[in-house]
Amino acid sequence: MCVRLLACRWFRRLGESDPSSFRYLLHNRYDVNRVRRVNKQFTTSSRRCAMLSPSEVSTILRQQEFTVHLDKYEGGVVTSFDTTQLAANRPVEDRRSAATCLRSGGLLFGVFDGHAGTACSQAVSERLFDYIATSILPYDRLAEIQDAFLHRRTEIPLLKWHRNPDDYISVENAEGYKKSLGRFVNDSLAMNVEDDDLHAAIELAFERLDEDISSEARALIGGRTTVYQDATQVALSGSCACVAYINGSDVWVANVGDSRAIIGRKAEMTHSGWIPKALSHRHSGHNTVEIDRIRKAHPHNESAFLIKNNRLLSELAPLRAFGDVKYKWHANQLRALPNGRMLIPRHYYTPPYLVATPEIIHHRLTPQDKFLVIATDGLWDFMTKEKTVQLVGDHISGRETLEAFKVRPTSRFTLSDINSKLKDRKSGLASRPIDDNVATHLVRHALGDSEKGISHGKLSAFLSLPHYEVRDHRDDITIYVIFFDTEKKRSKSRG
Amino acid sequence: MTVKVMEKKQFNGQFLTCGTTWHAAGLVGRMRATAVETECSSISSELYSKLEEETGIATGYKQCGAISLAQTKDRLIYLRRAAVNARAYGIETHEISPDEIKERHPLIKTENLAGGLWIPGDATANPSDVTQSLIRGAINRGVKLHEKVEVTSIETINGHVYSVVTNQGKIQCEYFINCGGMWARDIGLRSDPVVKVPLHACEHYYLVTKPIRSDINVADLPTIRDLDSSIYIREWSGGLLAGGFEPLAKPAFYKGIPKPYEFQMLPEDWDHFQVLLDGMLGCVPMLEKAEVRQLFNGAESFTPDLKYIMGEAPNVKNYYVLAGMNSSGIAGSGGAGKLLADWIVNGEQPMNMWPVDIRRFCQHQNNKAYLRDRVKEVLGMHYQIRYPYQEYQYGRKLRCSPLYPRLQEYNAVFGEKLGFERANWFITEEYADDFLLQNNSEKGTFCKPNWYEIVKSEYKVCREAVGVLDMSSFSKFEIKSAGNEATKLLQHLCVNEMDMPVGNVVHTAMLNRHGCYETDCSVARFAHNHYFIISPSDQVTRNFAWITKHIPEDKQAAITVTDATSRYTALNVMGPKSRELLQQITSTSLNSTDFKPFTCKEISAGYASGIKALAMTHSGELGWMLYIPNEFALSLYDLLMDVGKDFGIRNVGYYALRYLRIEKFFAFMGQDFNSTHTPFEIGREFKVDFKASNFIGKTELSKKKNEGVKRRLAMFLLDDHDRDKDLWPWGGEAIYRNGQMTGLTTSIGCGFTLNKMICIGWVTNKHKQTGVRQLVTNDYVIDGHYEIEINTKRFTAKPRLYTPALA
Repeated sequence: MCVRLLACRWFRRLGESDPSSFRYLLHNRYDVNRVRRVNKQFTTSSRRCAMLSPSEVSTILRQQEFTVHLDKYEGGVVTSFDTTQLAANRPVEDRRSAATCLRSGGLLFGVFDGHAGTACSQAVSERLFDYIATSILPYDRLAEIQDAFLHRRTEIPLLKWHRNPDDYISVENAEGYKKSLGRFVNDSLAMNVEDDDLHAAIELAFERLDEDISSEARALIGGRTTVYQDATQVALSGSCACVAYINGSDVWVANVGDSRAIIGRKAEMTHSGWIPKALSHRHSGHNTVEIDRIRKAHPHNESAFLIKNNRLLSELAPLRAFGDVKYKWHANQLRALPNGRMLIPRHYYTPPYLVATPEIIHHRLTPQDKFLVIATDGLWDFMTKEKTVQLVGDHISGRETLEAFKVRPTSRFTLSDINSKLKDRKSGLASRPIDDNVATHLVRHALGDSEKGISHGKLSAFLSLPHYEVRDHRDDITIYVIFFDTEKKRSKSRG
Repeated sequence: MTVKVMEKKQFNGQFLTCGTTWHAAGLVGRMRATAVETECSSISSELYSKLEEETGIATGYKQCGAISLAQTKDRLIYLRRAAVNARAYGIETHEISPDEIKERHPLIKTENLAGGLWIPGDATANPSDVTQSLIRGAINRGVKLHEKVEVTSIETINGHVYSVVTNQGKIQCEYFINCGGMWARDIGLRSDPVVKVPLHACEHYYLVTKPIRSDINVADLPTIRDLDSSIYIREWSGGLLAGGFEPLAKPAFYKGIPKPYEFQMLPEDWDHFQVLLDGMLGCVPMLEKAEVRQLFNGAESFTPDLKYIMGEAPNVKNYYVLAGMNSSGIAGSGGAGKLLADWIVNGEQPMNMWPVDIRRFCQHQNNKAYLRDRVKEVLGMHYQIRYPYQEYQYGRKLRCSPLYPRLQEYNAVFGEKLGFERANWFITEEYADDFLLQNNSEKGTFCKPNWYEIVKSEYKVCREAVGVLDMSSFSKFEIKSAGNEATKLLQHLCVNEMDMPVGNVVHTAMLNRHGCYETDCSVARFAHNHYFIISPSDQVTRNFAWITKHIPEDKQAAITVTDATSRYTALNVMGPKSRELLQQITSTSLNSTDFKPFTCKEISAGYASGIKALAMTHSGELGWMLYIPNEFALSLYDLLMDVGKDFGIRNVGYYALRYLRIEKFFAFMGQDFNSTHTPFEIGREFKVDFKASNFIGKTELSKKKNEGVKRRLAMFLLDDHDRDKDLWPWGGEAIYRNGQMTGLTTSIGCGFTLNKMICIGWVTNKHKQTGVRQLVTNDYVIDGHYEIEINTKRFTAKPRLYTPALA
């Protein structure tokens, strides 16, 4: 197993598509019934012979986890975040990014669920935050950035990244990305956008990046050698994106595709209850609003073909995405590609069928809002939002009890004070977690939950599936859990 | 004789307290679960109250009395039962009302109380001072102390203690006493052969408050035991000391006791303590405002049944043990020390020590994981209501019969004896729903139990058709010899002629030299030099030790004694149809002339061969005990159940057997009588064959035969007891003869044929004025007017001395 994981990472470093992932060229999602069937099969047959020991399971689950603690000045309301990733594809097609915007002090978190290879999700995960950071800059600050470009500085002072040391960054493409970003900075200076409209700024960043991906590929096909070499691959593969921008008590979630962002809110009345508040809608074949949007954008006679089997043109599961130019370009442009004819979907009359325009939801944090979960659909295949926030909430109180309760000899606590504090700890004690990292905790529950709590047999079975089968049973999972301290007045807005 | 005390720690003014004594709470409670432990406490109280006079060192002994609180009706019943026992052992108790409780201890919340028990003789002491005073007394009388001694091993020669090897050299000794406290088990492992001292440490808590501001002088208050909240409270330096016995304890040191561990505490776990804190605040509301001086978490060792471990090791002569005080060391040690000293000096037990005797365990109970799990539950038992027939929840399935999974399929409800799982009764289909609904929430009751109808039907099956009971837990020994050595040995041990015809079985006894019971057993002779002995499950260690101990030095090689308990699966097939049924599966003739009652044969049945079949059932019913080599047990059982269908066969449990037995007045060793009783006292004079050769205890017994007995086991039929409405007797009820308390009941049965509740119990004859015990004749027993008191209500009872004829 270890060897396989190492191989996985090696492929990612290479930044190339693993040949076997072409099996899943058509973003191979599966339905709930299938999950149930698999679960049942796992709980009965596989529990009997666990292929992995409990420590091996934990090693695999924790391989990609990390936690970042932020102080008051860097994080604002955000005290810390936990993240993890579990691969199903070889190599993993999910990407993740977290960064602080240097100018605004706001924090950006994003999960990027790639399909048809890793090129697009990789590119978006590296580039999108730069676009957003640029787009939300006050007009007068843009010049400084332009200056950095003009002086060919290696570091553009837009972001401070919070990366896992393992995260891959494509050195080869960096120069190409930077050129496009430079043009965006110039164009922004030329445009007269109202400073305060964050909504528009974020939307602009998304759309501009998708346009750039398209045009870079077209330029490369057109023979412009100055463009980076992977441009075609980036444009032909695709990626969902779910990005949260947190500044002060304000949270904006911009979503493209079927990842989700959920706020966990502590219920006021009940003692241990948690209420989910969704900050995104899934752009999938189950979302009627989305289907209507697409139908309206195309002639009536196409409606029968637009969404079939819950997929766009019977092929693509997410109904919005970066890249995926085969649903965006004109047929002629597609034919110009090598083997281009093969790419054109059936009933392809009035492109574009796909957009990267995000759906943006703004939310102002209340004192009851304790955390935000952003995760790719690999998690949501197994978890409801209700269960997710409950698990995270229990983990918070469980984690608090990991430290022993002490009464200092000097303290003037009465026995009744002590007793009520101890009672408060009771629910936490009941849910003392195995994993420190709450994101890993979620993955463990997603894959391992059974009627009798976490089933090691099920976990072991899920994690030891042969590579040619694993994608039938689970998808890549990427999770951020971002914790807020909304009580201690950390929420001072800066910028 | 020189007595040397070896202690690991250097004595820095504080002698011998470094393990757990230094943090003991110092309660000297008088009311204990058994006679021997109560006696220990009584001796301790007496000793501590006078010790200062002798040694000049104060013990802090203060007879402040104690109140046990009852929050529920069941608790009150439980306390009354305990009080009856206590009275029999000479402890004064008074039931008091909530108002009287308030008067004696104004800090207690009494609104939620049903009543309480006032025990004026209870006391508190200062544990360290008691220890210093004791050791001063010992030194004054010539005991030598050795400090900083660590015992490496105990050497034995021919199964006899020879010397103690320590880090300071070797000490030869005649006797060795392992008083290692929570280290006792480890010390036991340091000898060859290993001495098994089954105990395990637990975290044990109490809290001391800062001085309490109050108009009441807390120093004068009695000790409080709020049993339903699992806590006790006593005064401590102007504040209160409150500790408890939580329902589920935390075992400590499973992976070994750290070195060094002297005057140390465990890290406090407030979360674990919270359940007790809740109880404390509920019991004494003013504690809410109190502040903590310290929360103590000390390690204390506990035994699998919450009773001390005392006595001579079964496998090493003159190796004695005194350990496992289960956190009542201060209350018990003074008396336990005296009783053990008497035991060593006289070479025999000073009273019925069986409840605390180290030989009550089987070797398997020394398993550390088992002990760790069991003590979780044992600690809390101090304060929990112990309902009749209550079984342990933790440390189960230590030993299982090969048929265990089958019995489980038949919905057996298991009990446990010496770690062996045994079916008590079987949930039948018609009752399945009732029991499924109640699930595990079944708490126990002092009234008619929920299994009543089921056990009744199991009883009926044995009386009218055929029942089968897995009795594999019973002790089984095989004795073989080259020539007649085995016969000679048994003739020396047993009260009947052992040179009986091959194929005979006799229900006999082995006595000690006082003519009192050492063993109540059945002996079957399978060949002239091959005997098979069966005795009650919990006698296995003791019997094996007794038998092997009496093999003469020069016959060691000739005689083989094997503990065959784990080798055979025992099926008791009983009932009028047992003969016809068994005849279907064996070619050995079972008719009444070929296979008479109390004979035995080795037979084949089904695919099983080498079955030791004994025509006896321990229940007085027709039938056979089949001792089947383990590997054949499953197939034979299945065959029996299959063929038995047409004979109305059913699985029955131990409760049914008990009721069958009690109705026929078959007394049971360990329950109805013990090793201080003679066969005459329990009505078995006819079972002793004085013509037989010179067995141990014969002389003493003949003497007693002429003298007559001063107590007598009798059977009582309750006249006006309503099984549905009245509380049931469960053993330990007071028996009144002509209005005078004459003894306690020992076991109880529902006589389904006699249609009466049956009690077995003791009759004594104390002179009204002098209190001197007088002879108890048969006429004396029969002539009296008897009443048995169940929770303050008295029921008229008819006495019987012998097995009644059943219709």
